[in-house]
Amino acid sequence: MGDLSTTPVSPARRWVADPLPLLGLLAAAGGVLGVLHLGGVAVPWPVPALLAVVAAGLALSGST
Amino acid sequence: MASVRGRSIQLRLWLAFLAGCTVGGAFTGTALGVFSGLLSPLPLPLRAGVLGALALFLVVLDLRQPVLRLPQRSQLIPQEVFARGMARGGFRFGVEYGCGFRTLVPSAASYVAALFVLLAGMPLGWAACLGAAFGVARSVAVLQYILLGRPGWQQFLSSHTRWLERGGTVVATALLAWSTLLLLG
Repeated sequence: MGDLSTTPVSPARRWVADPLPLLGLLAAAGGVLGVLHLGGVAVPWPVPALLAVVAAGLALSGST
Repeated sequence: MASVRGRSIQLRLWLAFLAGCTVGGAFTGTALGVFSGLLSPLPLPLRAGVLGALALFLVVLDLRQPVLRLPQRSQLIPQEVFARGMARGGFRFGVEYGCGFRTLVPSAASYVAALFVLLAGMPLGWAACLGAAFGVARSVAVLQYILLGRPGWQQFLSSHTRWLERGGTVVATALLAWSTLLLLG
């Protein structure tokens, strides 16, 4: 999906379109949920499992 | 940058790709869920222990190896899948891409996720659902490219793809460890 154009693009614009920040957001969401869980909020097992498989899918984005 | 017309076509093709990825992922999840039934006679704590040991091994392997070397199909999905039209091709490409084993697998995250579905002993519906979510997630980067991509998108992603692969492995494993602990009650 790449192309050969050399139009300059800002780093911020690059990161917005990149899956790595999404993975970071997902990890942060998992961390927040973990803290809430430690605080007594009930978290059912499928919630972290769903976040995990989404992380696994994003991790393979480099082979797109 | 894609023109409006071009982006519209790309989005329609992506929808077919998304549907295929979801079906492919759900297929893998269902298959793993069925096979997990064979392991159900084993007590959950034992299966959780095996899962923990294998997951730890895979994380260390992914973090240590410059390029992950695990059993996988070392071929790209053939272009012939588009021979019967773009929409059908996008769907078929998505099925092969979303199932998680028909093309390159450069991160241990999907292996850890597959082991979780295999060993955690969940209802079959949840196994299919987790597989489908994996498939959907595989299509997200393509949507990002269509909506937000700029020239050189692939090259930029390639510059840190190993961070993405390893980060995904660590995040997925941590979340699955937590989920396993919740299952153990």
